[in-house]
Amino acid sequence: MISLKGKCGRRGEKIFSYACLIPSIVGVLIFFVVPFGIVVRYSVIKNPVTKEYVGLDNYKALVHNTAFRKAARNTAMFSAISVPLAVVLALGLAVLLERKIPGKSAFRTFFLSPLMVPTASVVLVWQVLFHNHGTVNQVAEMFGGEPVDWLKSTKGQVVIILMFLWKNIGYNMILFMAALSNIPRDMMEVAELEGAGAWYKFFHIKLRYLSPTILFVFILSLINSFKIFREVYLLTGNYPYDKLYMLQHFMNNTFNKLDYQKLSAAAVLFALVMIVIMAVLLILENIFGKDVEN
Amino acid sequence: MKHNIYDLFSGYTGELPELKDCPCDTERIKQLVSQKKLKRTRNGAGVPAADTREQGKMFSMAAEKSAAYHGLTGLVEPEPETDEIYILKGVDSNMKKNWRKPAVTAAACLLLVGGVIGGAALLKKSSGNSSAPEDSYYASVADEGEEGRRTVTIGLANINEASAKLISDYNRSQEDYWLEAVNYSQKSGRTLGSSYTDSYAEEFSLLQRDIISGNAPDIIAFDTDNMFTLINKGMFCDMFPFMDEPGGLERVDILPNMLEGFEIDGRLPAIGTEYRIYTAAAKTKFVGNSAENWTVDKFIETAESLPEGMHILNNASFLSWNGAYQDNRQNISYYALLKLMNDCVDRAENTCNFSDPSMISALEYSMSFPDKSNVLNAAELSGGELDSYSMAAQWALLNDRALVGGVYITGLGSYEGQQLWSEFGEDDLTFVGYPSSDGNGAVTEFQLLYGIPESSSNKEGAWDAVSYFISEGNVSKAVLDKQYNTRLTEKDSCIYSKRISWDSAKNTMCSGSGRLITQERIDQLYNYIQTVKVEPYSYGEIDEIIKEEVNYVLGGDCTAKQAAERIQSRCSILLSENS
Repeated sequence: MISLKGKCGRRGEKIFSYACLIPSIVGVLIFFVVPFGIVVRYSVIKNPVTKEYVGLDNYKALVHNTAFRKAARNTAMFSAISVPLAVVLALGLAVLLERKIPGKSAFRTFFLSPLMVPTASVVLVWQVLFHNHGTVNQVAEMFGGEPVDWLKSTKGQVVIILMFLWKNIGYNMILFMAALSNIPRDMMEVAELEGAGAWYKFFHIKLRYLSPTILFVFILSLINSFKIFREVYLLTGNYPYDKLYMLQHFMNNTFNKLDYQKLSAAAVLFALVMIVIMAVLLILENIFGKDVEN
Repeated sequence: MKHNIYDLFSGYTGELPELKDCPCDTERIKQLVSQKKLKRTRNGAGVPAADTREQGKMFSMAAEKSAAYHGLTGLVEPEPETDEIYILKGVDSNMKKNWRKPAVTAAACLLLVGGVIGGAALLKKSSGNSSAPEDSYYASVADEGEEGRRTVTIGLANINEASAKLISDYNRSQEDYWLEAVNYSQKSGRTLGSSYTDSYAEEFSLLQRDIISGNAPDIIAFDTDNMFTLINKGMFCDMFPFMDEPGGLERVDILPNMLEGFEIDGRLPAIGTEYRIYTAAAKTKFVGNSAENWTVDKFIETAESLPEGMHILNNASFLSWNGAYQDNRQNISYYALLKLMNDCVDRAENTCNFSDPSMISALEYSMSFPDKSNVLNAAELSGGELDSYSMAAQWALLNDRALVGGVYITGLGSYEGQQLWSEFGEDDLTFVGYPSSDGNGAVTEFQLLYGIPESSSNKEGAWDAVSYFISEGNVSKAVLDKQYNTRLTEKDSCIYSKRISWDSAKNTMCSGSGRLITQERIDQLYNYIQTVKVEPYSYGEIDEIIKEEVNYVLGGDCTAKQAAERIQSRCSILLSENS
């Protein structure tokens, strides 16, 4: 009798929990699953008018598309350089600011200030700096150097990497500072008593405790690296110089050209790549940070 | 047959009548009312209540409250029991929409001046509002004309007088289909001018949404850039099979070079009906007979050997571009690059080659001229100076003071004859065109291209309308031949010393004096129109990129070679996106 009551109670609880989940499930379905399904469907039809099923033809066309390959290569190159730099430099600054150094809060404010400036103003400043007759070239010429057309040459990526770091390091640094303050003091004290050096403490204790934050900052920076399109677009327009052409340019231009099939195929492919990257990162984090979390 | 409003004005002679004095045929109106062909206005959107329903005497015109209006007030007694509701709608209403705003916002008079034609009436806005330009609008009369017809929709970025007239004319020309316009500029809430020079990004975006949602019109008529986007997506059906069916418009009815220009991979996804050819001409005595459609090298060679004091470009025809009266790097580069820009693009393969030596040498040659800011500029001249320089520039070609003049051709009309006569006189001329690498120096422009979407459920009806537009346009072989034969007939009747006099006032070629055109020149134009290589499709963005980079060269910020490399880099991305 008791067990039957218990069973009924559990079933009731189950029904109640499923009922509570329905709004979320419906929301996820409407706002994520269904749109993604539509995108997947669009990626396998010829065009929105005839709606003729073409299988993987759009994907084949996409991977053979020179513009897509160029955009993917440039974006991968940019992310591969800028994301690790954003993580490492932010971590370095966080460690530096953890120490008792003069003007600590001023530095912190200084590194956070790029987050508060609107993108359009930022772009204007960077244009002034890196234009053909910009400040950087003027300074270079003053010292006998040759002016470089930064935004219309192969050196364009240097500018956007600098811009990305300038914009993102401050925020990453704050995240690392918060994580550093959460490392158990007793652990550090024990290490000190055991005679551990600064490097040992950093690599074997701090870094282990920071690994979930590193993963988070890495993912955040990776996502932000795709957003650099906004700055590049404002600096150079829809069709920038070769090295500045990013995946978002491709997506944006393809959308403007009504090429939803190519756009959908690119979006699906991009999502798959991102899933793989995230999975790899999570596995790595699981391997290196599991013991610390436990 | 549908009733023509001209029927209502027995004394109509073509002049715009003041309606109050208009000699209306009241009996005819009564007859139309009794036949329910004319109906009374009602109180509805855009119709003033007091003036219509209460007086109950208006039959033709109605506008919104702020607008003055003229109707046939007082001519017919109201018959409330028998009269059906009647609303005269606005321009795009030919297409069942409300009044077009510009027609009604000003307190201007709306005069009925012509044509209840196939359910449409032409309205003329009088100068009631001095700030508003006089303009004509077509309006429909209720749904008259639609009965029993199958509706065909046509999506346009904007409806101007010409397109509205064309639609009305088509609706009047046959009784099987009723062409109904979808005006995307109205949908977007924009008020556009009558020209097709605006950017139609918003309108195209709305069209895209209609296409995606399965509501594409039966005919899409947009500018070349946007149409090319749709063509690249394979959205249009091939119009050749329609042409190959007996009884209708055939391939031979269209100028062969025009047809060839629109053909893509053996298909005809879209077609323009009104061409404009932009080219350039020079007196043969300066350039020789072999200079037709010259190359950059030939142009530079000829330009460098000009006598002292002779300009390269007739700055009257190139003046509007940059306002400068002497050859300068801006107008030389414009002239030298206009066609080359197209030649460097392979649209079939979606590739480009802007590193082409001719592109670089054209830019380098342009740089040998002073900047436009360092030459005589129209804006800096006083009234008297401006007049004398304008005159000098205008007659520079005629007086052998300039080598090349711009020429604009839309057929064998009076304009072409006058233009060539006033610039070149009686001398033989050669169409050198804009320097090119493919032996085709003309640039052809079409304001509208027509395409029938694959999704259209009424392709036959759509083709019927498109074929009507083609037959009325200057791409029609019959239209050109008619112009040619008319000129010949005129020549025969008024030949004088192997010359044909041209009377610009009467717009004929055979009376009066002062404007002369030779038979040879008529033949030359006739042949030239039919041999021009037509390249209707273009990427507006490529032109923008080139202009931007060329400006850097002209400003001395980079070399021609660097600019060519940048153009190549940026344009190749644009083109490869389409591959």
